Amino acid sequence: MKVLTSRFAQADPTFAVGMVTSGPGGEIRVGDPVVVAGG
Amino acid sequence: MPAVVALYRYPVKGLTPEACNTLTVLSEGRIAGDRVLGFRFANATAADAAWSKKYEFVVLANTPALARLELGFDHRRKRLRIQRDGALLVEDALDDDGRKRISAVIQNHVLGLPDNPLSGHPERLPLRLVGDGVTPRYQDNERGQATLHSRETLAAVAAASGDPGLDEARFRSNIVIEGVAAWEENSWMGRRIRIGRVAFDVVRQRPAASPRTRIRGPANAIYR
Repeated sequence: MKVLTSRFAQADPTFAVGMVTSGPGGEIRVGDPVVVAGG
Repeated sequence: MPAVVALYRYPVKGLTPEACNTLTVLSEGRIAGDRVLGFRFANATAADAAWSKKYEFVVLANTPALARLELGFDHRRKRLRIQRDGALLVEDALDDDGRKRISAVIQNHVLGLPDNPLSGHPERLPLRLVGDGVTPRYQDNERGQATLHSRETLAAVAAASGDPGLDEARFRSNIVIEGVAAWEENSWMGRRIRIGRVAFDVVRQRPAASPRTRIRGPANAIYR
């Protein structure tokens, strides 16, 4: 996306992050809180 | 506190999402029912049941007009239904004959599109509908990985691009959250987050869409 490189100064445009589970997984739901460790 | 506001999975790689109220997260962050099928080139090097890079599939990156197809997948009965502009293109089961019929219809449809990866490449024909309809294996990343973005980041991109209607479906994330600063999720690289009861490690910033894949689809959405 040109807007990511030109307006947000991203050399390699990215959008979103990829995540792996650190445990066994499970069910997530709309409305679930998001907590960042140490945040 | 930030919270989940939308959840999506994409039963067929490259086709439209299912909006869900819940998702089951499996090991490695794969989502149950996500990318369980795909239309793969005949000359693909990977076995049908193996992961491969998306460029061996018909996907939005090489076939932008796929965004106009509307997908319905009955996960229980293993039946696939694909429409365009409300008109049925194909509906069939995932048995051998059904897969061939579905693949033939999609192949003919794709060959008729102005921007497609099949014209001039007879070695890629016939297309094969691969996947067992259950195992999530055709994510862009070999390790699987659930993807997440925030509505605030989407709004920042929409404002910068002058497109207030920019649809998050374009970005094909599994998890959409709200309640953070724009781009804050990028700062979580290498950190652990918890969504409900599920813990994730943030391991990658996801490459964004190529400009050539921009196209308006149903409901004015722009997909990649």
